[in-house]
Amino acid sequence: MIEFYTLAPERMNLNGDQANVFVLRRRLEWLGIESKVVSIAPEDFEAAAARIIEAPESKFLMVGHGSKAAVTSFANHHEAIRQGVLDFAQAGGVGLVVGSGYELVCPDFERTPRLSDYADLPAEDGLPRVFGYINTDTNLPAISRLGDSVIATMVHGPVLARTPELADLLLTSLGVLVAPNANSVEADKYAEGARSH
Amino acid sequence: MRTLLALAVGRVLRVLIRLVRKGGGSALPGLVVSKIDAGLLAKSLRKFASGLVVVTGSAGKSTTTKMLVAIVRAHGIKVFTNPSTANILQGFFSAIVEQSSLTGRLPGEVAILEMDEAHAAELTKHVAPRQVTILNVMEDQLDRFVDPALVRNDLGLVGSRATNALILNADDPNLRIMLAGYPTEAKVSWFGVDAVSLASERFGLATAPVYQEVGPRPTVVAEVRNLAGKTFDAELQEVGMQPLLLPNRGLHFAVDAIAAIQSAREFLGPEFDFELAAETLNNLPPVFARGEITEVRGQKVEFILVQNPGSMQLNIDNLEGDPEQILFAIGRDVHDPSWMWTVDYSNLSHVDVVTGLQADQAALLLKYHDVPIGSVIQELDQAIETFFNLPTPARGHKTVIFSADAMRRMRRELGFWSPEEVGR
Repeated sequence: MIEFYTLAPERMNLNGDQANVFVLRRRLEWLGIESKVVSIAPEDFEAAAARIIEAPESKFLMVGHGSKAAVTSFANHHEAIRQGVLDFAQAGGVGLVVGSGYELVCPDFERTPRLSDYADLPAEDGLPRVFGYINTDTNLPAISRLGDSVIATMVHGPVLARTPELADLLLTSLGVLVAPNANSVEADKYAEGARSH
Repeated sequence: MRTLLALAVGRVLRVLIRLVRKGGGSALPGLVVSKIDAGLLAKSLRKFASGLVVVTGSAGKSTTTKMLVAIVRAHGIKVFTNPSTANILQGFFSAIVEQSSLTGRLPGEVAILEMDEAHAAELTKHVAPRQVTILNVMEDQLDRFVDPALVRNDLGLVGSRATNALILNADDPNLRIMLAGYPTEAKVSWFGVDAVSLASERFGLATAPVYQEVGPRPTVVAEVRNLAGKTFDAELQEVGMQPLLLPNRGLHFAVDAIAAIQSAREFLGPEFDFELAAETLNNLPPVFARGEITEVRGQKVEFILVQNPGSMQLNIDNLEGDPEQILFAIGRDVHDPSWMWTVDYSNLSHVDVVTGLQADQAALLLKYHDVPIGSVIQELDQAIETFFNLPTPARGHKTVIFSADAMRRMRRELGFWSPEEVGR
């Protein structure tokens, strides 16, 4: 059983970022592996992070991208969330932080002119070539690692659907033995097609 | 002289393009004219004796505008309006090319225009609208607008420039926040939906969440009551109630209708005839692809336009029965299809043909959502052939769900030259 812990998914899903959890769960389902989602309210994040840091195996942490209103609505908990994600990453946890979630966890950035474009990021730092969309006005790297296996990225939306190699890398980090199957082959064929247009 | 030159160039260009491509030629001439005489649009709009009326917001602009125009025309007033979805500056310039005199004068006593949120903010800097109707703020076109808070700002600017009347949706808290930040001298009135009717839609009005207390709902002077399928009662404070028949099922159509009625009442003042307004709406054909069922190659087809998470969700949830044959076409207007992943597709049983320039993106989405796919065909003309060659459905009609770009291309492929060519 893989457990997906996600911060306020109803608020942090502006660009469909929670689809990344959905995509990972589908890929697990296609492999016959069960999973569940645990939604974490901002005020509960500190306690939840402490629990999963104790035993990070088979646990995935997701912080998506929310509107200004959504992120501001839990401003009192930003520091606890930042620290919790960093501690989880240091403990060897696996996860994904996106967009305003990334800004929240890595707040030392500068504002830049806004970039809104299709993203095709080269493979580097042990990560595959990544495809998706970016809409950012920060100088944070488009993709980086926190610890070994928490990926922080400005590529928003279902980046793992469009980049199944990254999805499988994260699943492998969770200890899953990933193998192609009829469903993943079909989905990855569409992902491949989507990149070429 | 500049105006004359701009219009002459625009018209020649339009004729030339139409010689090459039937049904085309509306966008480029407008663009060229805007480059030659950028001030022409504001100049033309200022010439209307009864001013400029703007309908804006994230969703429902086309239907509301069409309804409002029909009601005002039914009262004997000559109206200039823009074709559905041609709601950006370039589209307005194109309308001038097509319809103005050589001095840039447009026909009609009043201009009633649907306007894109950002373009409305730009245009109303130069022409103060007499009246503004703001429908809603949704999480829409985020690649352009980035965040709903920024859309609120644009709409706030537009609303604050209304000279006579500002008509707002009481059931969208964004508009209460907006009004607090952008006060207006104009008379403000609110329309809305009664609680029971509002609850009839799984996701309500699907407006952008505000995550803050915004105070009580304002008192409404026009309200949707007793919504049941395609019918509802429109209640106007101090006037009474009229039964209405919508072009199709869906709370959003009812909201559009009540917004149009209240906007017409504000514009017409004492001349407003509620019975006539209701009769007009009851006989109004739908705006194309909003509840449109028409005949193509001897088969009934429903065209459904989806432009943002709200309209996708509402339309998927409101699919009548379980459509037997579905074509799903997503075009290049959906620059970033990420928003499509925020929608619940559990009411979509299958898709026969996936097509459009974003066909693979759409197929990827449907695959993960366990929606069975018949075939993925990139080329729209081939997809249309495949879909229309399927045998006539045993029940109901064929269903086409498309984005705006796919819609335009498909209509051209199918030979619908006029954007207003619809049937009920």
